[in-house]
Formats: sequence, C-alpha cells, structure tokens
Amino acid sequence: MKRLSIIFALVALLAISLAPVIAQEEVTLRIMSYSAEQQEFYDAAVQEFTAETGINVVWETLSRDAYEETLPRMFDDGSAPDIFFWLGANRVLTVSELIDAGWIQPLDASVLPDDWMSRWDDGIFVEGINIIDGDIYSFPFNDNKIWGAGYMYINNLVWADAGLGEDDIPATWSDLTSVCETVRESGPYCVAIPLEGTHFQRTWYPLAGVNYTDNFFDYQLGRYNMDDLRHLETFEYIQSLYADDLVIPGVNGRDETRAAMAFGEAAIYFGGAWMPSVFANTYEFTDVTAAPAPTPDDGLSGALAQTNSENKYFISSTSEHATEATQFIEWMTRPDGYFAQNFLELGFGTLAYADNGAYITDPVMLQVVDIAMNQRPNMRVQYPEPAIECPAVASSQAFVNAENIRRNWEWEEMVLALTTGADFEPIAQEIAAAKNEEFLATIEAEGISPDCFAFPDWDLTTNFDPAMYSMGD
Amino acid sequence: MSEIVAETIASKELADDSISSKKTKQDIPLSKRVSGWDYAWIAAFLAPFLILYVSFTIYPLVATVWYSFHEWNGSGALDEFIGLQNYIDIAQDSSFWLSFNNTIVFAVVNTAIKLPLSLLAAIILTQRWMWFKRIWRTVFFAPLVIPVALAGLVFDFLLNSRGALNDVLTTWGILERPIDFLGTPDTALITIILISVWQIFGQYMIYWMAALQNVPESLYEAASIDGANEWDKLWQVTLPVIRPVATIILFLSFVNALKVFGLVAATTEGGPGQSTYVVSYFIYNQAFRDMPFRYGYASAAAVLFGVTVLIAITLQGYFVRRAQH
Repeated sequence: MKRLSIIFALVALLAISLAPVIAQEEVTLRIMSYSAEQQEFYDAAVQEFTAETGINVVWETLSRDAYEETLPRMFDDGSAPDIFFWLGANRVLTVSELIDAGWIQPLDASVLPDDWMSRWDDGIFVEGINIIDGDIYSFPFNDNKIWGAGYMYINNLVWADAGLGEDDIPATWSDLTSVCETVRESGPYCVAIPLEGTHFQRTWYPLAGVNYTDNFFDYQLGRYNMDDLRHLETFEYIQSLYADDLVIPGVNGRDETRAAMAFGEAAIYFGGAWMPSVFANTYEFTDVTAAPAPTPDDGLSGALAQTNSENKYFISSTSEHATEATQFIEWMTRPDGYFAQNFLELGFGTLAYADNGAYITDPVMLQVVDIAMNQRPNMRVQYPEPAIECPAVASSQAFVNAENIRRNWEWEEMVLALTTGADFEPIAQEIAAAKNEEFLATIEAEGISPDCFAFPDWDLTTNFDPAMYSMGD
Repeated sequence: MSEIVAETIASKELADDSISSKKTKQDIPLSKRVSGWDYAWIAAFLAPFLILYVSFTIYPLVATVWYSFHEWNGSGALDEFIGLQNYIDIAQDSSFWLSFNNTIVFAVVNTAIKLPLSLLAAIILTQRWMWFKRIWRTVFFAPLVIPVALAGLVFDFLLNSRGALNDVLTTWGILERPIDFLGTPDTALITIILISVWQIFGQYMIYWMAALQNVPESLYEAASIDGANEWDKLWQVTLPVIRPVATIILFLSFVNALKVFGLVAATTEGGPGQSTYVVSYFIYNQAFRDMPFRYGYASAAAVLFGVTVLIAITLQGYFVRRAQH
C-alpha cells in the first residue's frame, strides 16, 4: 500500500510537472477591438471557432478611446494581441502606415483557400492598399457602400408628439428647417449635433455629402477645398439651424447627443450605419427611423466618398501565431459562416464579404441598407485612389504635412464658428490656402506630379471608372 | 507696536544666526567624517533611491530629449535623426504657442484667485473664535479627493446649456438665454480655472494653515500689548513672518497649475476651437491621440515646456532666498 502511494505520488508529480509543457502546446489567440457592446457576440463566435478548430481564442474589447490609447502602448511593451482592429489616419493607406510603424505582418497565405479573395468584389485587393509586395496584410471588413456616415435618424416618439408623420420626413434642407420649427414648437430641440473634439463630422459628412463631398480634399481638382462655395453653403445651412435655436445648444459630446436623441430631447441625429446597433445596444432604443440625409433645395448634387478603406483587422508583428491567426481570419470571413450570419443578424453592421440583405433582420438596419442600395444608390460613390494612379503617392508625406500644419483645423474652426456665429468664409480660405501651399511644396520636393491627385474627367457624383486612370500616360 | 514686533523678529533672527555660526558637521570634510564600511552603508542606503531616481526621472528626461531629435511615431526603430527640425517646427506652430499662452494664463489666473482665497480661509480657520473648524476643513478639502475625471463630468452636467446652473439663472431671469460655460470660447478657460480652484483650494488652505501655525504666538502677544488690532497683526506680523513659505507656496501653485491636463481632457478637449488648448493637452494629442502619432514632435514640445517649468522653479529658489533675507 505504501509502495502504491509512493508510485501514485510520483505519477501525480510527473503529471503536474508535464502539465505546463502540454499546455504550452495549446495556442491561445488574443484578439482586441473596440465596440464593447458586441462582446457577447465575440465570446460566442470564438467558442464556435474553438469547437471547430481546437484553437483557443480570447477576444477582448475596450471603449474606443481607451482602446486607441492602450493599443500603441501594447506594441511598445510587446504585449500586443495576435489580431487587432485599427482605423488608420489615412484609411486607404492604413496598411502602409502600420508597416511603417512595425505593427503588422502578412497573413499566412498557405492556410487560405485558393479562392479566398473571391469572397470580395473584384478590385478590392490592390497592391499598395492591402497587398504589399505580393503579401496580403488585411481585408475589407465592413462593406464600403452601405457602411459609413451619411444617414439621418429620427426619434419616432418625438416626431409623433410634434404631430409629424412618415410623409413629413424632410427631403430638402428647407423641409428640414420647416419640420424642425414644428418640432421645436412642440418642446424638444430638432437636431442633436455633437461638437466636442472632431465629432461634428457626424453631422457634417451627411450634409456636405449631398451638396458636394464629405472630403476636405477635392479629387477632381487635386486641391484642399474648405473654401469651396459648396462647402461654405453647407456650413452656412448648419449655422442657420443654430441661429434659429433648432439644435441642442452648447458643445456636447458624441455620447451626450446620441443619448439626447434616444431619450427624446431631440428628434434627429445624423450618424453612420452603425447607429441602429448603438441605439439598440447602448440605449435600448429601437423606435427610430432611418432616412437619407436631406439634400439642398435644388436636389442631390454631391456624394460621399467610397474608398478602399475598410481594411481594419491585422495580424500583429509580434504574434507568434500568424498561421492560427490567419485560420481565424479565414473562418471569420466565410460569407455564410457563423460570424457573418450572426454579425448581420444582430445588426452590428454590414460586411464586405457577405450578402448583407440575406441575414440582416433589424428593421432599422434594413432601412439603412435600402437607402444605400435602392433609395439613393449614388449616396456613396467609388473614389479614385491616387496611389493607384501614381504608386509613389503611397509613401508621400504630402497629406500628412498638410494636416500637420494644424491637426483637426477644419473641425476646430467650424465648431468655433458655430458657437460664436462668426463668418466662416475667411478662415475657410485661410485653411485651404495654407494646406494647398504645404501640400504642393511637399509633392514638389518628393518629385510627385500634382496630376497624380487630380481626376478632372470625373465628376465626384458617379463611381470613378478605373479606366480613367492614366497610369502615367 | 511695529517697533516691538520688529525687535522680536530681529532677536529671533539673531538667535538663528548664532546657532548657525557654530561649527557644524558640514564644515568637516567628508573624508574625515566617513571611512571604511561607512561608504558601503551609504551606498547601500542610497541605492534604492538612486535606482528609482535614475529609472523614473533621469532616464525618461534624457530619453525625451533624445526622442525630440527624431522623426518618430512612438513605435518601431528610432532611426530618423532630424536634429533640431522638431524645435524649428514647434517654434512655427501656432497651436503650440496658443496652448502655451493659454497655459500661462491658466497658471497665473488660477494662482491669483486660489492663493488669496485659500489664505483667507486658512486665516479664518486658525482663529480661536471659529466654530466647527474640523468640519470646515473637511468641506474645503473634500473636492481634492474627487477624481479629476469625475469633477469634469459633474461640472460638464452642471454648467452646460441645459444644466442646473443655467436652469436657475434663466428661471430667475438673470440670463435670457442659457450659456454653455464650457462650450463658449469667451467663458471656457475661465470656467476651467474656477473648477480647478474649487478642486485644489483645500490643499493650499492646508499649506497656509501650516505656515500660519508656525508664527510664534509671542509675536501676536507682543503686538497685542502694543495695541495692534487683528488687521495690524495680519499685515505687520503674520504676512512678514510667513513670507518665505508664501513664496514657496506661490511657486508651487504656479508650477502645479502649469501642468493642467485632466480637467481640460475631461471637460472641453481643448475646445471650442482651441480656446482651452493647454500645453499638456497639445503634447498628449500629438503623441497619443491624433494619427499619425508624432512622438518626437511631442517630445520637443515637452522639452520646451519643461524648460519653462525649470525657469519657474529656478526663480522660486531665488525668490525664496530673497524672502528669507
């Protein structure tokens, strides 16, 4: 018995000592992103993946601000996750930026099916954007037609209390002012506009995008365009809403304005395709209608920019599990897989590699899809990419230098003019002049032609035809 | 009366001088005072401090200066040496100078409001006739333990155009239209200054109380015999005696105020426009917030600003010595 006990103890000791060795062989992938309200879904998704592949995955989420501050520090101290979500400063050239920063490594193509890239539309995988020197570094996650800024959301309860119905949804700026006056007479403010930081963009993009472009750079003319009369007209219109006391006053944050709309302090909030999910998950508010942004009185004369900008998930350069991480990405991007189906069913957004109409069930999200695909198909149009026209643009510092004159210059000055009621035109001209000067000086020093950034044969409101690239001709 | 007080102060200074005129340990060379194992013990006791000091003060300081000579985003190799280019760019950066100006305004106004008020409170709370002293001290000190982010949030709700203060002011007819105190360029900075004063007031009150308690009671007794009233005692006894400490408190307050960051981040994020941009927030934005990160550039801004703080600290030493004489 004594001998048996000794043997048992030895076996137990051996098992304990071997356990870490065995455990070390198990791979646990770490994924990080924001959108903490989607954590439950991510937990379920990784369980599904583990059940299928035996690879453990931990998916962590933080609030956006915390995430954007934490992730760079994780790269500094070597604790970065295997897969991470990131929106670059220049969304189209995020891959180049992250390679420069030393943050990313390519996907392991050996574990990807041969037809993997066919899950996306043609022309999505482009050298210089998501392929560098033949290696795939990322893939478009959200689709770039439906997904993005540009929608108007209406609180149905406030709308009804003001005596307004479906027929009163404003189609033009004059209509918007008119219904806003009606809403204001009933008590609540009409529009909730965030002004803190750069959040004014949430209102600016939809309204600028129906009049001209949501960009501060005109790719038709190849110049910074804050001084363009169409931008000034859009700004003056928004300023008039403030002057008429139709907007919730003060400099409010993004979350404050969203909450103000969800809790009935305002009737309208302009936001992106993600808002149905945010309203439902953050504020438990679903009595909302999505509508296209009202146009100028003489009709739609602009479009939002549709660019190859949805390359958001990356394998970190510090990951020792690039193969397993690529396996996860392959699993995640199956058009009819668990991830795609549930992501769409839960209304978290639209995907670049799935049939969005097939799985979305959320009624507000369906309205969003309908707006982008049917009601206003040219709401967002394919933009030209200067890096395709002139590959040297991929490493150009022209945009960076122009932005560095003063970060967030346009937003800060627009907010200032909205809070003071000041004339914006002189400062708009100053911004455009300073940025154009720096931009042209930089590309001249880099030996890049201004023509690389100008596409004069394209009119900003229709899809750019790749045949228009002169490719140095 | 003032003669008696002056004599009393003079005799105290004379006594201090006589003590300091005795031969002290500092006059004996170190090599004669310390020998053999003493050096080992000194090294052993100094080591923990030195390691921490070098690791967390000297190294970051030197590293920041080194980074400031590079074009660097905070990650990856530090291999793009650009010499003084970041400093040249900073010198031409209107946002930096605006934030610099705002920071100085913040520090000066904050100090100008905070110190007299906290001194007044300290004087009142050190009077014998004052009731409930402990309760008052707690009341004034309490805001200090509230996290800055929470204070920012509370004041954000209180002072925005739909907040409680505007409700009261418009209901009473004092204001025709609500004012977003933190969202109006003309009022945002002063509002942040006042919130900061509210929060830090208790700390400076405690400093003043400590200084006041060090004024010898005998000076007040002598002044009373001389027929001085409370006002005379304040001007002729209290303020002259606490002058060296007051100088330290003044500079402490100024240097601490130069480092303002949390309240700006929690309330206005530098806005509206750039009306509340301060240097720390500028550095933070450049290094960690606005992509692409400009760690080298932010380091140059930090070094320039650090020099300003250093000048303030050096001036503090000079003025303290002058006040002591």
